Amino acid sequence: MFGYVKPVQAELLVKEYEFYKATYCGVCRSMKRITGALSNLLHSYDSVFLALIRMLYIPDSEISAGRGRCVAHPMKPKAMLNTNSATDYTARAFAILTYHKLKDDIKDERMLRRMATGMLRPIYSSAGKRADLSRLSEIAEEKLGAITALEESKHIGVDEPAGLFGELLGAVFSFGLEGADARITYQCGYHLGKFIYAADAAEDYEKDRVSGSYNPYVLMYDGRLLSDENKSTIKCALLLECRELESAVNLLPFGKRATIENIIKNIIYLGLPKRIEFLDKKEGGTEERQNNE
Amino acid sequence: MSNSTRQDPYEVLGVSRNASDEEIKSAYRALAKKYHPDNYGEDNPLQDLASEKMQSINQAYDEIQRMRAEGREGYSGNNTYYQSYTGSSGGSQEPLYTEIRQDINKHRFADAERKLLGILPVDRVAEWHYLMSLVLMSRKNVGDAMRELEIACTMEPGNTEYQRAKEMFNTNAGTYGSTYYGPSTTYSRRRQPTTDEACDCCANLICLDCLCECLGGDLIACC
Repeated sequence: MFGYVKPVQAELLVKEYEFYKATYCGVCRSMKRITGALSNLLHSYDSVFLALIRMLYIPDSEISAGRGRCVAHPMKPKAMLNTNSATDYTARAFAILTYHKLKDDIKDERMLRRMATGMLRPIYSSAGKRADLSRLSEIAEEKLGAITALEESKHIGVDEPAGLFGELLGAVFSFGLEGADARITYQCGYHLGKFIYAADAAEDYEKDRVSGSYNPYVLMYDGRLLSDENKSTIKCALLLECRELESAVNLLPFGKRATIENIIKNIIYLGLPKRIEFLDKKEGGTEERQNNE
Repeated sequence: MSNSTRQDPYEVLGVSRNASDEEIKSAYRALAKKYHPDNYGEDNPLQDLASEKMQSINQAYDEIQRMRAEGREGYSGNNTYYQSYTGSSGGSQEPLYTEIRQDINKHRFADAERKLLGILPVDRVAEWHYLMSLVLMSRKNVGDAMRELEIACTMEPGNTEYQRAKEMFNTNAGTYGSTYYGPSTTYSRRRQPTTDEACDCCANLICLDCLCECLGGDLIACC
C-alpha cells in the first residue's frame, strides 16, 4: 500500500531475487484473473510480503513456476509463479484493502471511486468466496473507519491509530488460518501495520505540517520543525516496533524453505530500516531544539 | 507443534548428525538467543509459542549432549544482560509518584496509568512523563512511549535515570538487524569457522550472557 515492504536487492542471492520477482508476477497473475486487469495498476511490492508468508502455509507441491510475458514487459519472457491459493488470497485481500482505502481517502473523487468499486465487484461475484471475504471486508471498513474517527477528533498519539491499522493487517495476514498459525501471522501483520502507519506518518511530517492535514507526529510535536533529536526518537520507536515484528517472524514455520525465509528476513532486517533512513538526514531544527513540553 | 511427535534433535537444531560439538553448541546458542524469553516479554501474545520452541531446543540440545555422552555444565553465573529500567535508584519526592513507581514495579500498569492521568496537565513534571512512558511501553505503545521519554529527558536533561532508560531503548533499537549479515550466514552453505573476529567475539559474549540469564532463572522481564 505504501511501498514500504521491500527487500534490499543487493543483499539477496540471485535465486532469491528471482523467486521474489516470480512471486510478484504470481500475485499479479492472480489479480488479473480474480479482480481484472485494471487492478494490476494498483499492484505493489507490499503484497509480495503477504504472499510469501501465506505460501508458508501451503504445501510445496502447490508452488510451481513457469515462464510468461506480461503487459508491462512484453518483450522479455520472465519466470513467474503459477497462481496458487496464497497468491489468490493475496490478490483478494489486497483488492479489499485497496478498495476500502480508496473509499476512505478519496470520498469525493467519483471517477476513482467508481474504478475501485468496479475492481472489487468481480471478487464478490466469484463463486464460493463471498462468505469468507465479506468478513474481511467488514473488518477493513471498521478499522479504517475508526482511524478516520481518530483523525477527525485530532487524537494525540501515534500508537492508537497505528494499532488500528495493525489490527487490520493482522486480520489480513491471519485470515482463514487457525490456532498457532493464525496467532503468529496475526502478530506479523499487526506489527508490520503499526510500523507502516507510523513510518508513513513520519515521512509525511513536513508535508502535513505545512498543509495542516492530520498527522499524529505533527500533533505530538505541536507542529514544530523536527530536530535531529526528535527524529532519532521516532526512529528508535520504529525500530522497537521492528523488534516486535522480529519476535513474531522468528516463529513462522519456515522449515526447509530457506529462500522464502531469507527474503522475509532481508525485508524485515534490511528493507524496513532502509525505508526509514529519511529520519537520519541531518538538517535544520536547531533553533527549535529546546522547550519541548 | 513442537515435540509431541518426537522430532529428531539434530533436526530441531538444524545441524547434521556429524556436526562437531562446537557447531552444535553455536547452533544451539543462535536458536536460544532467537527464542530467548527476553525477546518475548510476559505481555507478548506469542510468548507461550516461543517458550515451547525454547523448550524443544533445550531438550534437543540436552538429548544430543546425552547421546554423545558428554555431560557439560558450562553455563552458570548470573549476568543480566538487560537491566530492569524501573530500578530502585530512581528517587522521587512526591509520595504519589513513589506509589506509582511501586505500581509499575509490581506490573499494575492500569493503576499506575489511572493515577498518572489523575494528575493535572499543569502539574506534570519530568517524572510524570517518564513514568507515563513506562506505562505506555508496557502496552508496547512504543511510539508514544518514546515521545514521553523524550519529553522527560528534555525537561530534566541531567537526570541519569531517564537518560539510562532512553539509552537502553536506543541500544535495543540500534542493534536491530545487526545479527543479520545477508544470505551467507543464514545457511550453512558458506559458513566457515570464524573464531578470531572482533564482531564474533562480541556476539558470542552476548549469546553467553543471554544463556546465563536463561539458565540462572533470574529474569526480569522489562515492562
